[in-house]
Amino acid sequence: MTCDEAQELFGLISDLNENDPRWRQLEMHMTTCSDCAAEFDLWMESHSYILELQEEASEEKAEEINRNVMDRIYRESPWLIPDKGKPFDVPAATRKRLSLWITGFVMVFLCSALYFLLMDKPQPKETADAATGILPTGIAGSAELSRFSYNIPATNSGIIEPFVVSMGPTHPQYWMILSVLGVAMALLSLRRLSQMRK
Amino acid sequence: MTDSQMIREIKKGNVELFSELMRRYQRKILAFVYHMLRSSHMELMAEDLCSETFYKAFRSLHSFREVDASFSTWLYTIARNTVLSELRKQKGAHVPIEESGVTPVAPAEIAPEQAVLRNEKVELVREAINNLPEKQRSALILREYDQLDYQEIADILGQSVSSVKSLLFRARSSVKVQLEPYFYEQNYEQYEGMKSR
Repeated sequence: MTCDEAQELFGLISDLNENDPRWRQLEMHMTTCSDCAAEFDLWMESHSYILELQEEASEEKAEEINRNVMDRIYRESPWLIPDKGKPFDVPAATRKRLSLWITGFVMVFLCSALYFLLMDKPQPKETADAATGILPTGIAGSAELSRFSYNIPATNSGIIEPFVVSMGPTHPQYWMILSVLGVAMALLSLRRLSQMRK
Repeated sequence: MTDSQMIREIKKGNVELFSELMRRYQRKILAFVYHMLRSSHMELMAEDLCSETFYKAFRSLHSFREVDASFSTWLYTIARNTVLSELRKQKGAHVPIEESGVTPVAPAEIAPEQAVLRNEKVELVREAINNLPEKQRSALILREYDQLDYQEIADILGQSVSSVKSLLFRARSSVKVQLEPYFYEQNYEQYEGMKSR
């Protein structure tokens, strides 16, 4: 190794692995060159001075930073707060009751839907005769007039029945609508409770 | 759990894991920020800037892509940029060492005159590092104090590995040159002998 090569190596010598062959070459060179040996000492002393300024961060300070960062994240983005730490958490007992409520209504819905689909088949309705509204003409003095009568179908009597929704507890549709409303109410209550301050 | 797995979970909404992820690097980043600021006597800001670094990292986590850099390299890059931005803001507003609250203190067992010498030496090295151009200073701190390898330093500084070697060589050489008068005072005869040769 020449002096120039040694000088080039001094600046990076501290980065070399202990087993690096260049260490051996440098040591060999310095046994024969006192200038490079003295220069090497200066480099090493300077390096040791730099290392003396090394500081280790304390665990407490680092933990404090950790807490500060997490607090800032949650303060600026409250929706990121995990469930267990939410200040507006719904009590577990209430959640359980509401879950039971929802489950009950869902069961009612399913039962009534099954009943509606399987048991409550609609009866075939009587088909009304086609009525044109044109009545046969009666001829005065005709022999057939005495036997003539108008046969007005009941469905076409011209009197319109008021529309009545026949809904009672025995109708499965009623239970289906009720159970859907119940589930909706339960979900709304849960939502409202979760938004309310304890 | 690896960093990548943690980051995936955090992106999915498990924000609490970010605290765990921070725990892996918080001391290293705090030390790095501290070393970067110390040369400018601004150590007191280290904790604030370290917090700022992690907060920025959390906010930009969606843009982090592992194919570009490792998480630690990415964090160091954010930390360096945060510190440089603060140093630019504070440029001109030099804080005297007495006001920084971090006057170098020698260990109690050292004699007073030795303590004075030690403080003088610490201040000399600090000044020598402070006088380095920014990239040389960053490279030196990342290598000497954070023990990062050339490739990691290259990724953080956006340089090639050979440029990093060159930066380190010049930084160490510059510090040595600035410290030489001090060595000269300490070992006058030895230094004179070497100069005459």
